[in-house]
Amino acid sequence: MEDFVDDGAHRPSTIDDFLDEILPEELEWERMVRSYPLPAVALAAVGGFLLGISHGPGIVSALSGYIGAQVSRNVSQVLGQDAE
Amino acid sequence: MADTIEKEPTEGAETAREEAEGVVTAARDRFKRVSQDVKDRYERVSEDVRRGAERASHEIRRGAEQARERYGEVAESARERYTQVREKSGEISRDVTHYVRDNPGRSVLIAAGVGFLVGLLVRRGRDEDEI
Repeated sequence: MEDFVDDGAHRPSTIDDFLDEILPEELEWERMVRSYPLPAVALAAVGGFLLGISHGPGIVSALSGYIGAQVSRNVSQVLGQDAE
Repeated sequence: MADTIEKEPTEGAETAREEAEGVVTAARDRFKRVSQDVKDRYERVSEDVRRGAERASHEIRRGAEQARERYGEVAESARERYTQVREKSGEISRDVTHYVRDNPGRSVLIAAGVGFLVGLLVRRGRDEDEI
Protein backbone atom coordinates (compact mmCIF):
# COMPACT_ATOMS: atom_id res chain seq x y z
CA MET A 1 0.00 0.00 0.00
CA GLU A 2 1.27 3.45 -0.87
CA ASP A 3 2.38 5.66 1.98
CA PHE A 4 0.45 8.90 2.15
CA VAL A 5 2.53 12.05 2.01
CA ASP A 6 1.09 14.94 3.98
CA ASP A 7 1.16 18.06 1.81
CA GLY A 8 0.56 20.29 4.81
CA ALA A 9 -2.74 21.58 3.50
CA HIS A 10 -4.69 19.77 6.21
CA ARG A 11 -5.81 21.88 9.16
CA PRO A 12 -6.56 20.07 12.42
CA SER A 13 -10.23 20.28 13.40
CA THR A 14 -11.97 19.95 16.76
CA ILE A 15 -12.52 16.26 16.08
CA ASP A 16 -8.82 15.77 15.39
CA ASP A 17 -7.98 17.53 18.66
CA PHE A 18 -10.48 15.31 20.46
CA LEU A 19 -8.93 12.18 18.99
CA ASP A 20 -5.45 13.49 19.84
CA GLU A 21 -6.62 13.76 23.42
CA ILE A 22 -8.25 10.35 23.80
CA LEU A 23 -5.75 8.27 21.77
CA PRO A 24 -2.14 7.65 22.82
CA GLU A 25 0.36 10.04 21.30
CA GLU A 26 2.68 7.22 20.17
CA LEU A 27 -0.08 5.84 17.97
CA GLU A 28 0.18 8.67 15.41
CA TRP A 29 -3.38 7.90 14.42
CA GLU A 30 -3.64 10.61 11.77
CA ARG A 31 -0.63 9.34 9.84
CA MET A 32 -1.91 5.77 10.11
CA VAL A 33 -5.39 6.73 8.88
CA ARG A 34 -3.93 8.63 5.92
CA SER A 35 -1.58 5.76 5.05
CA TYR A 36 -4.14 2.97 5.43
CA PRO A 37 -7.57 4.66 5.05
CA LEU A 38 -9.87 1.69 4.55
CA PRO A 39 -8.31 -0.66 7.14
CA ALA A 40 -8.29 2.23 9.64
CA VAL A 41 -11.98 2.93 9.07
CA ALA A 42 -12.78 -0.79 9.33
CA LEU A 43 -10.79 -1.02 12.55
CA ALA A 44 -12.63 1.98 13.98
CA ALA A 45 -15.98 0.43 13.06
CA VAL A 46 -15.01 -2.87 14.71
CA GLY A 47 -13.81 -1.01 17.80
CA GLY A 48 -17.06 0.93 17.96
CA PHE A 49 -19.05 -2.25 17.53
CA LEU A 50 -17.19 -4.00 20.36
CA LEU A 51 -17.59 -0.96 22.58
CA GLY A 52 -21.31 -0.79 21.80
CA ILE A 53 -21.88 -4.47 22.45
CA SER A 54 -19.92 -4.52 25.72
CA HIS A 55 -20.51 -1.08 27.31
CA GLY A 56 -23.17 0.44 25.02
CA PRO A 57 -25.98 1.13 27.52
CA GLY A 58 -23.57 2.50 30.15
CA ILE A 59 -21.98 4.89 27.67
CA VAL A 60 -25.38 6.02 26.37
CA SER A 61 -26.70 6.70 29.87
CA ALA A 62 -23.51 8.54 30.84
CA LEU A 63 -23.77 10.69 27.70
CA SER A 64 -27.44 11.35 28.37
CA GLY A 65 -26.65 12.37 31.95
CA TYR A 66 -23.82 14.67 30.81
CA ILE A 67 -25.99 16.32 28.17
CA GLY A 68 -28.90 16.68 30.62
CA ALA A 69 -26.59 18.28 33.20
CA GLN A 70 -25.18 20.69 30.61
CA VAL A 71 -28.67 21.66 29.45
CA SER A 72 -29.96 22.19 32.98
CA ARG A 73 -26.85 24.25 33.83
CA ASN A 74 -27.35 26.46 30.81
CA VAL A 75 -31.06 26.83 31.57
CA SER A 76 -30.25 27.76 35.18
CA GLN A 77 -27.72 30.33 33.98
CA VAL A 78 -30.24 31.87 31.60
CA LEU A 79 -32.97 31.93 34.26
CA GLY A 80 -30.51 33.35 36.82
CA GLN A 81 -29.52 36.14 34.46
CA ASP A 82 -33.18 36.92 33.86
CA ALA A 83 -33.89 36.98 37.59
CA GLU A 84 -31.05 39.47 38.14
CA MET B 1 -68.24 -108.11 -53.91
CA ALA B 2 -64.64 -108.73 -53.07
CA ASP B 3 -63.68 -106.09 -55.60
CA THR B 4 -65.95 -103.56 -53.89
CA ILE B 5 -64.45 -104.41 -50.54
CA GLU B 6 -60.89 -103.91 -51.93
CA LYS B 7 -61.79 -100.53 -53.51
CA GLU B 8 -63.35 -98.92 -50.44
CA PRO B 9 -60.22 -98.71 -48.32
CA THR B 10 -58.30 -97.19 -51.24
CA GLU B 11 -60.94 -94.49 -51.78
CA GLY B 12 -61.07 -93.79 -48.04
CA ALA B 13 -57.34 -93.42 -47.95
CA GLU B 14 -57.43 -91.18 -51.00
CA THR B 15 -60.11 -89.02 -49.42
CA ALA B 16 -58.18 -88.85 -46.15
CA ARG B 17 -55.01 -87.91 -48.04
CA GLU B 18 -56.83 -85.19 -49.93
CA GLU B 19 -58.40 -83.88 -46.77
CA ALA B 20 -55.02 -83.94 -45.06
CA GLU B 21 -53.49 -82.11 -47.97
CA GLY B 22 -56.28 -79.56 -47.77
CA VAL B 23 -55.69 -79.06 -44.08
CA VAL B 24 -51.94 -78.77 -44.59
CA THR B 25 -52.45 -76.28 -47.41
CA ALA B 26 -54.88 -74.27 -45.32
CA ALA B 27 -52.47 -74.36 -42.39
CA ARG B 28 -49.62 -73.29 -44.65
CA ASP B 29 -51.69 -70.41 -46.05
CA ARG B 30 -52.72 -69.37 -42.59
CA PHE B 31 -49.13 -69.53 -41.39
CA LYS B 32 -48.04 -67.44 -44.38
CA ARG B 33 -50.74 -64.86 -43.65
CA VAL B 34 -49.87 -64.72 -39.97
CA SER B 35 -46.20 -64.50 -40.73
CA GLN B 36 -46.82 -61.70 -43.25
CA ASP B 37 -49.00 -59.95 -40.73
CA VAL B 38 -46.30 -60.20 -38.05
CA LYS B 39 -43.72 -58.99 -40.55
CA ASP B 40 -45.89 -55.99 -41.48
CA ARG B 41 -46.49 -55.13 -37.87
CA TYR B 42 -42.80 -55.45 -37.08
CA GLU B 43 -41.96 -53.12 -39.95
CA ARG B 44 -44.59 -50.62 -38.85
CA VAL B 45 -43.37 -50.70 -35.25
CA SER B 46 -39.75 -50.40 -36.27
CA GLU B 47 -40.65 -47.49 -38.54
CA ASP B 48 -42.50 -45.82 -35.65
CA VAL B 49 -39.55 -46.41 -33.34
CA ARG B 50 -37.13 -45.00 -35.94
CA ARG B 51 -39.28 -41.90 -36.40
CA GLY B 52 -39.65 -41.47 -32.62
CA ALA B 53 -35.89 -41.79 -32.16
CA GLU B 54 -35.28 -39.28 -34.92
CA ARG B 55 -37.77 -36.87 -33.41
CA ALA B 56 -36.24 -37.32 -29.92
CA SER B 57 -32.76 -36.82 -31.32
CA HIS B 58 -33.89 -33.66 -33.11
CA GLU B 59 -35.55 -32.34 -29.93
CA ILE B 60 -32.47 -33.09 -27.87
CA ARG B 61 -30.24 -31.35 -30.42
CA ARG B 62 -32.55 -28.33 -30.45
CA GLY B 63 -32.70 -28.25 -26.62
CA ALA B 64 -28.94 -28.47 -26.38
CA GLU B 65 -28.59 -25.66 -28.91
CA GLN B 66 -31.04 -23.49 -26.96
CA ALA B 67 -29.31 -24.29 -23.67
CA ARG B 68 -25.94 -23.37 -25.20
CA GLU B 69 -27.33 -20.06 -26.48
CA ARG B 70 -28.98 -19.34 -23.12
CA TYR B 71 -25.79 -20.19 -21.25
CA GLY B 72 -23.83 -17.88 -23.52
CA GLU B 73 -26.28 -15.03 -22.91
CA VAL B 74 -26.28 -15.58 -19.14
CA ALA B 75 -22.49 -15.85 -19.02
CA GLU B 76 -22.12 -12.67 -21.05
CA SER B 77 -24.63 -10.84 -18.84
CA ALA B 78 -22.90 -12.05 -15.66
CA ARG B 79 -19.53 -10.98 -17.05
CA GLU B 80 -20.86 -7.50 -17.85
CA ARG B 81 -22.49 -7.20 -14.45
CA TYR B 82 -19.32 -8.35 -12.70
CA THR B 83 -17.30 -5.77 -14.62
CA GLN B 84 -19.80 -3.04 -13.72
CA VAL B 85 -19.82 -4.02 -10.05
CA ARG B 86 -16.02 -4.15 -9.99
CA GLU B 87 -15.75 -0.72 -11.59
CA LYS B 88 -18.40 0.71 -9.26
CA SER B 89 -16.81 -0.78 -6.15
CA GLY B 90 -13.41 0.52 -7.26
CA GLU B 91 -14.93 3.95 -7.73
CA ILE B 92 -16.58 3.86 -4.28
CA SER B 93 -13.35 2.63 -2.71
CA ARG B 94 -11.41 5.49 -4.34
CA ASP B 95 -14.00 8.05 -3.18
CA VAL B 96 -13.96 6.70 0.37
CA THR B 97 -10.18 6.68 0.41
CA HIS B 98 -10.04 10.29 -0.71
CA TYR B 99 -12.65 11.32 1.83
CA VAL B 100 -10.85 9.51 4.65
CA ARG B 101 -7.51 11.10 3.70
CA ASP B 102 -9.13 14.52 3.57
CA ASN B 103 -11.06 14.05 6.83
CA PRO B 104 -9.26 11.42 8.93
CA GLY B 105 -10.71 12.32 12.33
CA ARG B 106 -14.28 12.67 11.12
CA SER B 107 -14.08 9.41 9.18
CA VAL B 108 -12.75 7.48 12.15
CA LEU B 109 -15.42 8.93 14.43
CA ILE B 110 -18.23 8.24 11.95
CA ALA B 111 -17.05 4.63 11.49
CA ALA B 112 -16.72 4.13 15.23
CA GLY B 113 -20.16 5.71 15.79
CA VAL B 114 -21.82 3.49 13.22
CA GLY B 115 -20.09 0.45 14.72
CA PHE B 116 -21.16 1.56 18.20
CA LEU B 117 -24.81 1.91 17.14
CA VAL B 118 -24.78 -1.49 15.45
CA GLY B 119 -23.22 -3.03 18.55
CA LEU B 120 -25.83 -1.36 20.73
CA LEU B 121 -28.65 -2.69 18.55
CA VAL B 122 -27.16 -6.19 18.53
CA ARG B 123 -26.83 -6.12 22.30
CA ARG B 124 -30.40 -4.86 22.70
CA GLY B 125 -31.69 -7.61 20.41
CA ARG B 126 -29.74 -10.20 22.35
CA ASP B 127 -31.10 -8.89 25.68
CA GLU B 128 -34.67 -9.06 24.34
CA ASP B 129 -34.12 -12.63 23.19
CA GLU B 130 -32.94 -13.59 26.68
CA ILE B 131 -36.10 -12.09 28.22
